[in-house]
Amino acid sequence: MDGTIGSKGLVKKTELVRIITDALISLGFNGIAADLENQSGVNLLDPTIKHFLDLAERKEWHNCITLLQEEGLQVRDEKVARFLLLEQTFLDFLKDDNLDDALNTLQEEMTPLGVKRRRLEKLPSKFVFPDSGEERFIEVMRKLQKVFPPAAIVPEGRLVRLLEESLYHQMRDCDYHNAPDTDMSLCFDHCCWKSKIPSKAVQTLVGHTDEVWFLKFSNNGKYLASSSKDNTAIIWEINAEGGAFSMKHKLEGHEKPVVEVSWSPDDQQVITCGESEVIKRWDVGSGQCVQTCGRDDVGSISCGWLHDGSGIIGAMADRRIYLWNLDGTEIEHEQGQRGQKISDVAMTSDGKWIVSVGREQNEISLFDRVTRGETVIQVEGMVTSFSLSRDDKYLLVNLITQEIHVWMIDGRREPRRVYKFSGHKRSRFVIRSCFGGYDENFIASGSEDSQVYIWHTDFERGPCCVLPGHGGAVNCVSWNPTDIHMLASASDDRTIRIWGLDLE
Amino acid sequence: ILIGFWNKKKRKERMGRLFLVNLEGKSYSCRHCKTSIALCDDVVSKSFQSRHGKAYLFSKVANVYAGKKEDRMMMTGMHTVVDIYCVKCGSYVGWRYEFAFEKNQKYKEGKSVLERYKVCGPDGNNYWVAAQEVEAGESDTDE
Repeated sequence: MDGTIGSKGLVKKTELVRIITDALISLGFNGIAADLENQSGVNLLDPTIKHFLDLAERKEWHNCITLLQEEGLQVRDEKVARFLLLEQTFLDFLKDDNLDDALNTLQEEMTPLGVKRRRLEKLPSKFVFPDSGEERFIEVMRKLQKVFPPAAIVPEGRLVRLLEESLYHQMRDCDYHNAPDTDMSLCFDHCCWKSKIPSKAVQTLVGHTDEVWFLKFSNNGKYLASSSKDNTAIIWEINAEGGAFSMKHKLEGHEKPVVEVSWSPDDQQVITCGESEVIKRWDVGSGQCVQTCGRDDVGSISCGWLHDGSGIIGAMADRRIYLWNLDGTEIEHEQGQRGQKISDVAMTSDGKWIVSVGREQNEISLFDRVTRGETVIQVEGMVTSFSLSRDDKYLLVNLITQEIHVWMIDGRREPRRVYKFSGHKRSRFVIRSCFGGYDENFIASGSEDSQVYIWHTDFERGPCCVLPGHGGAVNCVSWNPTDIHMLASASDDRTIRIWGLDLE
Repeated sequence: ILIGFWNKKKRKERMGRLFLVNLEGKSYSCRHCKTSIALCDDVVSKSFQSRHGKAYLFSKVANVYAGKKEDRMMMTGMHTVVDIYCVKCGSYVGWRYEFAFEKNQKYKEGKSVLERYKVCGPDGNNYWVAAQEVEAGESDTDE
């Protein structure tokens, strides 16, 4: 079995047979693997090396040394190989309290080899501290395997690893990749280009009687909550078959436009925020209002949940942030006044930070409730709205300058801006954007020109998709967290559009 | 019957949730809806003219949105300007200089002119326009 196979002359036939043999063994086909070795005449592992490794597994170091000398095993550096084996005998002598033999090995056999000086210097201390820095046996075996030339031993699962690398490269090369991992196949090269980005309006939801200002999918992707200038919020539910949405509950009770709806972490409840009014908590199953919280002296601007669903956060018109327990009692919160009235408020899902506009208008503050410390991000303009990624690592900020900035806030390093996007229109209203798609690599945004804009984070230069269709400004978008092919948009034209794949 | 017909025709202005910036300190506001537009501290020059009379040049204004870019011949030369409107009620309040063709007019770029007639002063007083000819073309000037 000489020579290579394949058009590029890079794949040696013997190596191909060996990694297939290893793959067959890992699939459980030991019999077929043995047949392959027999029929091809190519061994997965050279028998002498196999013998050596078997002896090493049984810790028969002296036999290993003998094998090394007599059989003329191909090794990278014979002296290093001897050193490693002698080191193991030295350690064994110490364990048996055989100090004379240990010293003899060290002085007469290991030192003259003239290799691994640093390691050699550490060994005398083992006479005094025999238990310090003991290596695990796996590590010892690994070192011994490295004694042989690289191609002598096939790492376990090598073929699968090569195939995975190839698939991973296909995914990396696929611009605007938005296909689930199950779409990847060994049988053909993957390239979805823009065909897997939701771009067709598959459903229009009618139910609000005035502008729809906000919407958000539930964490489990089965519900969509929307809120409107018509003073109501609506919970929509996806049907099991067909996948179309229908109205589950209309949440009535606010006397002002509802500016925001937020899902509890377990999707059992939502909170709604009336414009300069109160915050109401509702049960999703029954559609009933279970709590109203707010302050007598000042109205609400935005709302959010504590990360564990144990309380509610509200940003109020006096530019302060307040916290309430589910029983309505206020929780003390020390954070100074915000720089502007309109401020979103959110808590990261790990409970680390409360995010809001900072004390100055061009800032976002990340407030740590445990240390009471505030990390401040200076952005290049006033913040009109912001949104967190699901893994809390990224913050998307909408600026008054019509730009969308993405900051990395993963907590272990200083926050820094990583992307800038533009192309959509925002000059009068609060327009919202969100993360979404495969690995949250996409940004979607509403726009005052009635279109939905979508960018991919690898391509800042311009939006990859612009979706017309709405009859008024698109105020808010939400990407389904469990279905990367579903996007929803809310518009001044009183409708909500569900966008899906264009299957033509 | 005619009245009913016109009511049906009149389309309600669609709005969205306004993003308003709060200005702290003495400011000029939109004459119609009283939204604060510019701080007194940001006045650069009070010697500008518009078709309705006096106008002030401001280094920056807030709560306005812009119309389409246009090239206009002003008293001091050709400029690219955008008309600006109050975000809340949409009324015209003035214009912003995007580009000045003459070198010595470059200082205006990025700054905005508010027509005194279209805004309320910091004490709430308005500017009343006497009946006068509408000038051909736009006005301008500076010191």
